[in-house]
Amino acid sequence: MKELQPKTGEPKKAKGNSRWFSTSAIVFLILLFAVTAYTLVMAYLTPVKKIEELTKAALYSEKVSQNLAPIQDTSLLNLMKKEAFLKSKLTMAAQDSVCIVVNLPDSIVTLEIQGVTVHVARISKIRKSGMLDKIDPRILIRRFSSPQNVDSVMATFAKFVFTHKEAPADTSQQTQLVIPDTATIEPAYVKMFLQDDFILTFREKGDQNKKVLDKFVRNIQWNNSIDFFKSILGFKVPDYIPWIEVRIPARDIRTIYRSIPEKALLTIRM
Amino acid sequence: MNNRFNNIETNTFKVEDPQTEEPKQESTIQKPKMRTPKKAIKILFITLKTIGLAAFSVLAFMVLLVYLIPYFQNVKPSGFVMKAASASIVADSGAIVEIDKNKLLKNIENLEKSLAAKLPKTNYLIINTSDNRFQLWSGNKQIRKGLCSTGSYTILKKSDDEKWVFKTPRGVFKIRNKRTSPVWVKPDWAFVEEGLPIPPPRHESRYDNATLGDYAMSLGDGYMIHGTLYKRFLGMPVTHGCIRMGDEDLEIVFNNMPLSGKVFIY
Repeated sequence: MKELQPKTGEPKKAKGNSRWFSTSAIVFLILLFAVTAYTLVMAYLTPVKKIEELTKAALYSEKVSQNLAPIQDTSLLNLMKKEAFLKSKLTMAAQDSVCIVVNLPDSIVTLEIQGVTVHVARISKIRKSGMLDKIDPRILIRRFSSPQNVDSVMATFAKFVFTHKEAPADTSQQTQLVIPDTATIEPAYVKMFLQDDFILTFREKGDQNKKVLDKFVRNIQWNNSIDFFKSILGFKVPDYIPWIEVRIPARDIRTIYRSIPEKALLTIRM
Repeated sequence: MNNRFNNIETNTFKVEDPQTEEPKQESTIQKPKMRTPKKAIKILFITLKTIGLAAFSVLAFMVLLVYLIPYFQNVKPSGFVMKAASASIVADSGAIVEIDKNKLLKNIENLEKSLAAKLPKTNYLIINTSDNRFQLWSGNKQIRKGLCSTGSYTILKKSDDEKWVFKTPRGVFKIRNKRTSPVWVKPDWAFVEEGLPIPPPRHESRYDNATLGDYAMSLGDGYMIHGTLYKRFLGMPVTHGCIRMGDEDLEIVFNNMPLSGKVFIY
């Protein structure tokens, strides 16, 4: 009988194992689904919360509080946007350094010094946060009626590349003039973080460096999502930063990034 | 000794015990042999399932992080959610104030006038140091455009204390003076770069009347717009900070740029 015990016991144990595995797998999958669903709901609600925050902030400021009823007249809204844009440009014209002007309705990005346009780049594609279409336009108008400061920049290429040269001891050691390799094409992607919680991204147009740029963007998204997830796990409401991405030629991106000073000024016409 | 014998006996007994009971041996040894592959397969199957589940979870987590979170963050919030979110805010809103369209139009006109007034009254030059190109403008009209050469971004190091950075400064400059058949007074770095000893300040070896071409316009701080012997390098960043132009372009720029004319370098 003692020998028979394992005979009848083993299948029971195997069945038990299998049932245990199935139960824990189901529990695990339910948990995974719950976490995913919760994360996605939070992801969906964070921009809504941001709109709420911005609207509340605008409400307590003297400019928007009196005019919160929706404006139906789009021509009036466009005039308000234009006025804010020109005001901002005029403020920037007082600066001696290079400023960036992003004109979304006209699809151009320009560089300006003292109000003079020195460089023009054509925008081929515009992408932006979904929340920007849902927020009261007057809040954006108010926000962009004065120039924004570029707080920090992330780019796929170096701003300046310096070549180091040792002075020759005598004429026999003199080296030939080094001609820089201008044929090297680096992928161009520049992400500008504005001081007032806004991101402006310049991505090169065309598919020449698509794979490299997609990988770069995926890495950024990965890091952002990790931060988002950490906030959720810490029972904090994740922060959301609205963004605009414009696609312009790579050459123009390089010119823009290399010519702007640190903490450059920028204005956007929505 | 007894103990030893006992041990041997017990040992032999233990060894011999399964041999003497053959049917028992079959039942205890052969049966596990039959079950081992089944058990191993079951363990393998459960392990594979666990690995599969873990792989699926990792994959799902990665998709969630890389694609789903950014996607859901950028979906336009639905009207219902927006209404619910802003209900409290709208309820607090103040009185509706009419926006005067005519006043707005007048403001825009004034702002446009103020911005237009920022355009230089005289001809002006724009230098793009990134693409090594120039444009000569008169108001809103472009007079000339072409290639030029700007700073090479080279750092020439003689010692820890002595080094020179060859880059073109950016910003707004003015033409300080204009000279025909200019003579270049070579600075120290010109000798250091060639491995020559640095001569005294007004030594004759410092004066060079061939390098700058036919015209030169000074921007201050030793920076100039001038001609070049190395025309094949136009369009490339090869200079020590000055702006070099081709002969024809230089002549047109020289003749059209007034003294105090603005030069925008970016």
